Amino acid sequence: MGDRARRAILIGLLLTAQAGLIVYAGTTPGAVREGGLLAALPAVGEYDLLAEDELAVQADVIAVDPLVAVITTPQSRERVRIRGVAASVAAGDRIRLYGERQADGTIRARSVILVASERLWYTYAVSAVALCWVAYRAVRGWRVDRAAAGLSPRRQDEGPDA
Amino acid sequence: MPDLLTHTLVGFTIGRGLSWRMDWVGPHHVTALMIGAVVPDLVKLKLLVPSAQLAESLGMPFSWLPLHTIGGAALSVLVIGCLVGRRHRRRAVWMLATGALSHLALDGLLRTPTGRGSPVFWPLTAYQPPTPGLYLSTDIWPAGIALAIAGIVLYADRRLISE
Repeated sequence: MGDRARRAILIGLLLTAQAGLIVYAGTTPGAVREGGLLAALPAVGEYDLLAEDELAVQADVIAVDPLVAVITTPQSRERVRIRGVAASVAAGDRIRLYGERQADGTIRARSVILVASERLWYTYAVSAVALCWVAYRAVRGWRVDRAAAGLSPRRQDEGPDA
Repeated sequence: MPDLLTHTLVGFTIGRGLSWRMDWVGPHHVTALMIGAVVPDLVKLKLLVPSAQLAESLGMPFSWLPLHTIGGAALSVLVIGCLVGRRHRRRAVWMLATGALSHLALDGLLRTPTGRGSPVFWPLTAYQPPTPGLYLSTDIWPAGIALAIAGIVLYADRRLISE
C-alpha cells in the first residue's frame, strides 16, 4: 500500500475519531461538570447547568433597569432577568456570568464579566486580520506538490525531515 | 481565547525564536506553527453554525467543544499534517502541535466568571484548571504586547541575519 493510500485511510480514521468526539460531547453535557463546581465551557461560550440552580452562561443584554438578557442554550433561547450585576451595562453588551437561578425564574449573579459590544467587533476584526495573515503566509510558504501528493515548502533548499 | 491576532503573533514569535536554536526552522515552519496556533479556534465554527442548529439538522447530538481540547486539537493537527508531503511531514506536525499547545496555554490564562478554565483534557477528564484570569478575550492590550514582542524578535532576527 502506497503512502497516498495509507494517508487517505489515516485521514479517514482521524476525521471519524474527531466526529466521534463531537457527537460524544453532544451526548454528555454532564461529563464536563465533573467536580460539581463549574461551567462546562466558560472559555468557549457553551452552556451548561452546574447544579440544580447553578449556571455559568453567556448572555446578550437586551434591556437594562431591570437587566434582561437572552441566553442561548443548545436547547432554547431564553429571556431572563438578571439581578446582582453591579457593572454598568448597556443593551447590546454581552455578559458572561456565574450565578444561580432563583425560585422566581430570575438569575442572581455571583460573578460577572462584561464584554462591551464594540470590543466584540474589535475581536472579530483583528481575528479576521490574523486569518488573512496566516493564509497569506501559508500560500507564500507552501505549495501543492503533485509528485509528493501533498504540500511542500516553496523553498527549494528545504531538506527532508531529520 | 485571546483574539486570534494574539495567538498568531505568539506563534510567530515562538517560531522565530525556535529558528535561532534550530537551523532547520524556516519561514514555512513558522507559518505551520502559526496555523497550529489557529487550529483550536476551529471551535469558533459555532459562531457560523451553532451546535444546537447542527444537532437539530443532523438529528444527533453535536458539540463543537472537542475542537478546543488537547485531544481534538491533536486530531486536527494530525489531519493537517497528513496533507503535508512525506519528506516534510514530521517537522510540520511538530510545529503545528507546538502552535496548538501555545493556543491552549494562552487560553488557560483567561479570566472567567467561575475562575476556572475550559476542560482542555476532556474527554479524559472534565477537570477545569484554575485560571489566573490575566485577561479577557476582548482585551486589546494582549495583542499590543504580543505585537511589541513579535516586533522585537523580528528586529533581532534581521540583525542576526545581517551579521
